Amino acid sequence: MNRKYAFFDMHPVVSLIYFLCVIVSGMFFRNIVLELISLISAFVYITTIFDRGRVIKTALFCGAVIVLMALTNPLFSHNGVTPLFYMNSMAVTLESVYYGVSSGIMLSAVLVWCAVFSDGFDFEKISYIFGRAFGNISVVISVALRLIKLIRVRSRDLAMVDSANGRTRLKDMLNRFSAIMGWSFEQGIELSHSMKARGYGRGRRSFYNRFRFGASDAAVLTAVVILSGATIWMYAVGDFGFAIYPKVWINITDRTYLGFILYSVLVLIPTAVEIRDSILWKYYRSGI
Amino acid sequence: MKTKIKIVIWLGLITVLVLAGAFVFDDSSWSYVCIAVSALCIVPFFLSFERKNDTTKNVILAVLIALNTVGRFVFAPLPSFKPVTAITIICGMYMGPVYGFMCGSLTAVLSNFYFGQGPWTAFQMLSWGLVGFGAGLLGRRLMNSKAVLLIYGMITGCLYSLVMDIWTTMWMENTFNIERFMFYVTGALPTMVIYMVSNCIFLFVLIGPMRRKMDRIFIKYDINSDLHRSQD
Repeated sequence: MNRKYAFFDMHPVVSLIYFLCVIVSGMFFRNIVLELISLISAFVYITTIFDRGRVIKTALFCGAVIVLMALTNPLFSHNGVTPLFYMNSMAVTLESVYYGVSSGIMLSAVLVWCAVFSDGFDFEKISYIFGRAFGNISVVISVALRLIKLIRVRSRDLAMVDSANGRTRLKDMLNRFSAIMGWSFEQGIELSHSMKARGYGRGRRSFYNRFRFGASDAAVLTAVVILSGATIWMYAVGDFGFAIYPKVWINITDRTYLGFILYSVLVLIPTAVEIRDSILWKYYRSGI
Repeated sequence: MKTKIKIVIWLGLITVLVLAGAFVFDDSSWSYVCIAVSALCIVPFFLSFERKNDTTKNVILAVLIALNTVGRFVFAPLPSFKPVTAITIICGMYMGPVYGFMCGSLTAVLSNFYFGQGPWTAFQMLSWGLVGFGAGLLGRRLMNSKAVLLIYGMITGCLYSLVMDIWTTMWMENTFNIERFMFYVTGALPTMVIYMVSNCIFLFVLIGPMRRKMDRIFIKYDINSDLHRSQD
């Protein structure tokens, strides 16, 4: 949650709009090439920010999703023209396996993008964007985030005391829970009194943030808007025509190739930012 | 009475949205309609919470949410055996429907900071939130009888599981296919039983200490609660 990714160091509005575009387009675009582009570049991106173990885990998970969808989809869907074999006098078709694979790729791409987003887009950024409209809620969340750490530390302390005294039964755990609850409530009341004493809840709240909208943010935001606008327009016009049922069919024109290139550029933006950042880092460090 | 009218209006809105989703979009976009509907359902609750201005109750809510999240951590090794629903029910019961909703839905958001956000967060927020909301509406009845409380816990466990199965079906298939839904429901049957049993166990075990502590705090600091006002 607190790791630093170059792409998430940009202005929160930029990263929010970017991920909305990528996730929504990943869910809506039913075209096998676009789905593959999205999945592959998601993996290219996570190799630059996750450690190797996590990348391998994610890859295994995605593989499992794709295989699961390919195996279960023919059980429920009997569309398609190429029967592989018959089960309970219902055809198991090649097309429904393809459909399962395609949905699996789509789902796993969206899940990888979501994982990246929830990793980099921390609460500070969420409260920057939604804090004005939902002031009460963001205060409740930030108090709760602080209390989570506190409660974990306290329950560990109490558990240590209890185990030193040989109180390890289930009933003692309940007693500990009860003690922690009372303790946190009292602390909460004190907290609310001190908030009130400092004037919380009277008049408008002011906000502190450290985000500045710079030239590079503007450049990336423009690129994102233009690229996603272009691909969505091409999708709406039908340049990415693709169907699996009843027969696999894909529409390929010159404009389609252009669309694939544009979409690849869109989904590779974070990787580019990440690479630019690491090159700059090396360059500046060698200058020291 | 006012809350009841509001609920009717909201339910009407949801129906309109679902119908719009069915007729305006083609039927391959059900899961997005579904996410949009659940997100839009949450907003009115959030807005009505924003109108409340009671610092003390907000902080108590934050304490309950934190306890919920830590509970999800402590029981992380046991899949779906979680105290979240139980604490949310107790919160709704004591602090009213809106606070119950906030407790459930914010727990979903906060604990998913650690367990991973995804498109399912909106769905979890809504279903956990509604558990707390219902507990708030039933407040006094749940308070008076332990049997009703446990039955409510069981029913909500069952419903929560069914609602999450609807989500899985829509997300996997993009349309709602009843065969597939039944497949997931039967697959998730053990999970549903664990939900129901764990809700009962946690409610049974926690209601005593939590009642003592909540009563004490609410009376000691004279916090507005529907339950205590009518007891005086």
